[in-house]
Amino acid sequence: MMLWVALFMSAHASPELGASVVGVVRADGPAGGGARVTVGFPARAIWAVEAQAEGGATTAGGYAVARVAGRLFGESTEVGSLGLWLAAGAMVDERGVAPRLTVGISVVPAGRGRTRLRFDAGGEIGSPGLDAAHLAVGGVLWGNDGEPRSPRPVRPEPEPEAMVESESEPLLADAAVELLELRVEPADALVWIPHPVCAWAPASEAGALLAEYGGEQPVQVRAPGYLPATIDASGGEVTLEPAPEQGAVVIVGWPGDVLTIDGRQVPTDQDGVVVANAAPGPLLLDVVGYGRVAQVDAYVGDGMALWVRVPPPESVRVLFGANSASVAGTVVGQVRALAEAMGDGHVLVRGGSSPEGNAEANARLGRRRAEAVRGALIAAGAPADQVHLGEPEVADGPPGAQQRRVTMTPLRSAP
Amino acid sequence: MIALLMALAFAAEVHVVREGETIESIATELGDPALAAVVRGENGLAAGAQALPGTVLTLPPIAGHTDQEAMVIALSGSGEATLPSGTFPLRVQMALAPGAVACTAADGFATLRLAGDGINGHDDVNLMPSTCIRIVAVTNRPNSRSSAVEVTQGSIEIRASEGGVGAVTVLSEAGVTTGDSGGFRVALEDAGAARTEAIGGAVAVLGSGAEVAVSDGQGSRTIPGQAPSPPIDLLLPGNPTLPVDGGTLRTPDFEWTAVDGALGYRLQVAIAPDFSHIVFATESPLPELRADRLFLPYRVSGLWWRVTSFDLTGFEGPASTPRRVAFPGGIGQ
Repeated sequence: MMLWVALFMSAHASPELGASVVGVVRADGPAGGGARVTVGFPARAIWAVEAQAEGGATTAGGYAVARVAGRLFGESTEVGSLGLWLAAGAMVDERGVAPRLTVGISVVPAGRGRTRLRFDAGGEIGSPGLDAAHLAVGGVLWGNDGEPRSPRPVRPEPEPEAMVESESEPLLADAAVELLELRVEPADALVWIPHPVCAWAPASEAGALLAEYGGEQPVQVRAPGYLPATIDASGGEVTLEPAPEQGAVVIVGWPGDVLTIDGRQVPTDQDGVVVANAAPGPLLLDVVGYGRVAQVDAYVGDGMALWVRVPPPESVRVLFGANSASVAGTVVGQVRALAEAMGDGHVLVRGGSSPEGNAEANARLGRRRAEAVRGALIAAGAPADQVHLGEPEVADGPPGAQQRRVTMTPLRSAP
Repeated sequence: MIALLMALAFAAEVHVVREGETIESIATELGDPALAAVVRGENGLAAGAQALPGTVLTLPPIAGHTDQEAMVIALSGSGEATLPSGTFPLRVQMALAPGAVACTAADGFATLRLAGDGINGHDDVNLMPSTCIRIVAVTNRPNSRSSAVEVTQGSIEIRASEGGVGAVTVLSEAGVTTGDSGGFRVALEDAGAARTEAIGGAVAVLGSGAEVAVSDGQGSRTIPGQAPSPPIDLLLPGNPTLPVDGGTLRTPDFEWTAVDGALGYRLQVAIAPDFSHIVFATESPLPELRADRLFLPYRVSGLWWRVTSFDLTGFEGPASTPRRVAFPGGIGQ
């Protein structure tokens, strides 16, 4: 037991000191008030050992209590802590000295810094039952920065040799901590503390950290809604510029595609790529090229870049009757649709034929079909320098209607 | 009160019993052989009883050992934390005490700082999308650190420790993975199985009282009720070829060299060269990715990408050397 207590005390040398005003109502009638002081040793973020001393007076006379308490508590940085404590001790009043068991709850609202409010309510249990109820309101002074269980970067303990030196001359690091001033607007900005800390720190804490770990390189500062910036690690002032509500979209089309964003045509580069900035929100992209007319929905996020790949164009195939190179019937509509949505793209036109009969004649027929389609494309408005004739296609299946065809294949560039 | 009791159950520093260890040897390692009785008492062991390898022991308070909280140091997308006081959206700088549960959404990546000495060393964990971990214990010791988390969903990567010994233990339904220098992944699979991949140092995988040593570049699978599988070699990554290092990401296209035996590949994009802040990840069956859509933050200092390979049994190997890419000109102007 002694070993355990010694270990506990040495491992948790960050006590909480508390002082409270207490109101008391005794079960047998008298009421009064007093003062309480508390020394607590929190451990493992959920439990603590406390020593309490309390004295005061009721209408029946003076009283004093000494207690040792164990407190179990839950805690969050947003809300604070709620604890349940059980204490054993002794009370002396006009009735004499008697042992007391005390059950209480404690509430410590969240806050920053080293001090907190603390509220306690509880009851004294004696023989034969409830002896008194009490309500206490006071403050707690923490032994450290008030957030004792957080992995905040901490300063190294000086080596013994350094401590000897520091008696006559401050450590260089200590001097730097005092000298470095860092003021960042907005106040909720985060500053990147480089290796070995490797973490973002609130601007209010960054000055001391940079003094020790800042090095020579500039460090990043960022805050929600502001453009990031870099600052000299030696300190100073920086005011971040509010970031415009803006996102970006990178549209990846085909060379020659005609792209419009929300009805406004935008120029593409030689690869069919467009980089555009836009206000956050939905975006409607219209794509015309190689016979396709497509709409693409996109959403631009603030500070986000969205790459959107436009659906690639597909080959268009039209079929002919046996021994025919006449552009007629459904072929006319297909050719016109392609011509009207050519954009600035190039297509390769190749004709084919069913393989029955003379191969040379079949090749000539395929070429005539391709020339007919090319002519029809140009007649329908396609620029002649974007429509290219290719070699006749070789049959890729059994003889029949599917081989009597012309295929228009999109090209990324002129052949 | 239930939350408090849960926190109590998870708050203490833990130690994973390794093969060959006894309660006495553990107490001696802690600095006081007399602690053996305390350790037994804390863990409900009878006098003289020993614990099987893989048992996670709760340690008593040790002089010089400082309990800490984990902290969110990077977040992309969304997630939530379950604390004793309720459930809150994850945010950078959020402290997570032992017992807290951190989960990433399907679009979320998070990096948590586990133990850190604040001077030279720290241990971090990356949470992939749709992943949940519970903080079990985070302790800073003289000249070393110790952290333990329980993964209950998804997959995590314990990043290589920075500075000194940073022991990190990952608990799962199937077993325990522990390493002294980080650099390993643990991914949950169907039926409670867990896959461990050592990608930056050796680890030990323990389950059902057995221990398997897994070297850097090896993996092991643990199935509930069974000993961990013998280690198998992981696949090497492909070599990134497009975009070239330092090139511009004009189109959402990535290419890398194929790897024999790879069933597929995983690609990650981060805004920090050490991949402590991942913003995108996806899989591809081919040694290339032609993304239809790619959504990345541009108010950042840079973009880096890397790839891994995974085999027919799901084991994923170490990542390629990160390649830096630049945004196309005009973005944000």
